[in-house]
Amino acid sequence: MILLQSPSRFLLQILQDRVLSGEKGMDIDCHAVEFDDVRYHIQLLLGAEAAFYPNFSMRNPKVMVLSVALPLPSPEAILCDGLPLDAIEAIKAAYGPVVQILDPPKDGFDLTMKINLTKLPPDEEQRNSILTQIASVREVVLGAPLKVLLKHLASKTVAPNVDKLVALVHRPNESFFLAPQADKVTIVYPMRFQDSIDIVLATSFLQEFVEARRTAALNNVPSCMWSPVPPLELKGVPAEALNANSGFVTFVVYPRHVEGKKLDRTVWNLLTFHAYVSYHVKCSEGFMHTRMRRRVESLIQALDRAKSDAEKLKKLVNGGSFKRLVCTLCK
Amino acid sequence: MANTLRLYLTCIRNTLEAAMCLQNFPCQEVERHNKPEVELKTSLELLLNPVLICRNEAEKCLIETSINSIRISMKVTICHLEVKQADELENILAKKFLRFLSMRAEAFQVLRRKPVQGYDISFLITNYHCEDMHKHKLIDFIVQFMEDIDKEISELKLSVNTRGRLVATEFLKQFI
Amino acid sequence: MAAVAIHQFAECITCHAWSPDQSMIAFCPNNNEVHIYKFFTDKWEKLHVLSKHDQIVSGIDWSRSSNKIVTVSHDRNSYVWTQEGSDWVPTLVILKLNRAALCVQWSPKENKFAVGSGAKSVCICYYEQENNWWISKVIRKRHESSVTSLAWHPNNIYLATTSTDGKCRVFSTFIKGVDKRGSQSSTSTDPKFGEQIAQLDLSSTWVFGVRWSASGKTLAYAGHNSMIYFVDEVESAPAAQNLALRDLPLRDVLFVSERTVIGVGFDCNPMIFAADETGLWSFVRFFDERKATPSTSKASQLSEALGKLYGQSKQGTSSDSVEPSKPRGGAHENCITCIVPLTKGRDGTIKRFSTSGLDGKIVVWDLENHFTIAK
Repeated sequence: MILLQSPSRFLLQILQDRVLSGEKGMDIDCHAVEFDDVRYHIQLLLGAEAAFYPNFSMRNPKVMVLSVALPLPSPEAILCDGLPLDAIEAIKAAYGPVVQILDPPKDGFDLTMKINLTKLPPDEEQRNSILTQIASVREVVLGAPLKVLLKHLASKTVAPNVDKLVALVHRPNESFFLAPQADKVTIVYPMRFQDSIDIVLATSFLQEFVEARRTAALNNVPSCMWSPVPPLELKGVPAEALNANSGFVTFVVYPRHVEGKKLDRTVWNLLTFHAYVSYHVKCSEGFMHTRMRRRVESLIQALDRAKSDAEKLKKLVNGGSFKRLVCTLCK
Repeated sequence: MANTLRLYLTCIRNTLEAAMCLQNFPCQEVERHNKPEVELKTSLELLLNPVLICRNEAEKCLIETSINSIRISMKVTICHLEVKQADELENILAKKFLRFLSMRAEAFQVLRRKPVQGYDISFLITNYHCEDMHKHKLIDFIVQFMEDIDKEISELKLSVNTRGRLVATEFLKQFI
Repeated sequence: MAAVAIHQFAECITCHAWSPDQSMIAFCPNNNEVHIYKFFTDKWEKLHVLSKHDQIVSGIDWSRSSNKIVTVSHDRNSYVWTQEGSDWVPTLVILKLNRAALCVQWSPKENKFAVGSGAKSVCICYYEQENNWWISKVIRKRHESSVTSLAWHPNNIYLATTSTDGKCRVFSTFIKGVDKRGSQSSTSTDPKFGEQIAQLDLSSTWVFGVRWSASGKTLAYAGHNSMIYFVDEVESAPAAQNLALRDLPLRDVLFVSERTVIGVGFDCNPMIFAADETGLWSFVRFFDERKATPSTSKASQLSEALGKLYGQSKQGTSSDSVEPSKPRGGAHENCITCIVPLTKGRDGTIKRFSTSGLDGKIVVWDLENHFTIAK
């Protein structure tokens, strides 16, 4: 898997299982964390535990409660009732009568939704598409303000009442920035990583984005730049939002990148750019570990070749592995 | 590049060939002890002059010899102050790999748990190792080790770059 | 074939010695024991294990006429073993050392033996009949580092030592009541015990393996700087010849005649040195035939050239990597640490000798075929 998928496999699986299992029900109470920033909590409580949540009036095997904790927003990001701008509207538009937002959300979460599975359309295909949408709650909620801005770009306008520079949350305490214009939107990511090796690997990856963009095949994709210092677009942004240890990546998105069906895909890709890079950095490290382990093995073999035959024999007889085998057999 | 590496390694090999002439030698300072003199350094007359072999400013190999032990220390990474952006990847990969190896010192026997100050990795070979192992194969191992570190680091670097390019291309393709 | 017998006795052998009739061999298998093997018609059998030391045994000498074995060890002790019936009975010799004992040798008359030690001193031990006890007299404060080897002059008085301080010294070991006055031919007044007769400061580094020629006229020893030193007339007017080797340093030497010396060491292959009519010493050849490998090196040169021709497209193949080192030696696969004379000819020259080393082998070499070459 190279690309990240929008629907959360975890949520989708639970929802689909629930739909298929019919009237019979059992308690479900699952937690999950995605990309180290979004937390999910999905519940279906039928037994005594339901009593602890009187206002949720559950005890219905077809009603589930999904709570989502979003990454802690940084001070420069604009929120509305603790959710990204236009998120409520986006949820309503995407899910219709199936989902009802509960206010206030559960303790420790930013959004709690009641999912009424009885209101799902009977047609299997349509039903799956709604479930997939629900599983893509991250895209719907976090991507809402981005989607609004890019929709305007598609129609070559600028949304009214929008600042010259918009900060959007994408990681705990971190935002990325958009400079919307009628004919293009400039998006800047300050890239931060924790581990020193992550920083170096990510930095080299980011430079590959710039290189890859230069190839003929990718002539029409958003232009991509990387710089170790904040680009001009970020003028006036508070200094604490600019301490990026892996530099700054800038994408310039034109109307052709957001027209029609492309819009959702672009929103998702831009929203999860950091997660995407971070995921591949971790994969790289895993791969390196495997390689290094193999190299160590071959070097140990080279050292073993240096041992005289008598020494090898001695090792074989007194070898720890043999003893261990005997121990396990005795047990 | 490959050629300078070969010269460098051949030089190290020849030096080790001459320097690795060790014998069992009990401690002169402490009763009933037998310790690597190159580590103790208590009897100066039991140490030979150290040999420093440099491939370039960054890569060097220090060979310290005593009557019963020899210490081989390697530097492959550049000091942090002078690192250029392009070299940083290589540098950090080297450090990561060497740390990985050091943590497996037990398995290598001749690997020193902690490198000598100013170096990235050190070997300590004693007369006991020379009794158990064939000298020429032990030297082969040291040279292969050095060669492998060089090879591994450049291959790791290449794999990171290749992966980076693939990751970037796949991402950008989404916008077509 | 120069090597007439090769026997793998252990994984590693520190030193060995032969019984007077050469039917038995005593060696230390790199631990605190001494093993004695006897040759029965077709094979070697282990007869005894002498285990009295508690650290590695560093020296063994088996006296020719009195059939006594003396052993020294890193545990600072020495034992004299005498055969009573079928058993070997040890007698502890208090060496008065506070560091490891490194080497031991019976004097030619076998009334004394000398021990070199890491305490930078040499012990001369002799038997006191009245007390039924071995006495050790120590020559102190003469060496600046460990004493690595010893050699008795045929006069039973002079003792040569080598040390890791780089010097070779000759001492008098005259002990009243043990040695008779006037036993030396040359000097009128006998030097006292411990008096230094000569100090040779020829080497820049550690020296090992000192031996006298049968006549006592020439002294030879080896330096860790791959040198071998020949010194004539040590007592009166020393004349030294320093010979630099092309190969790895030596650990021990042996005079097989007045003009021929065998050196053994890190090259795993005995080397022959000989003096011409004018007394000039030179390296003659390796004892064991070396397996010549010119063909392989030629091949790699060729493939290297081809690689260049193809724009080094062959990089990364085995021909491009550094050539692996070649194993040294033939009969021995690791450093030779000990050389002991065996059969003597009618003229007193040695016809056979044996070597042992870190590979645990004892190899017997025959000199007969080599004299023509040496001359």
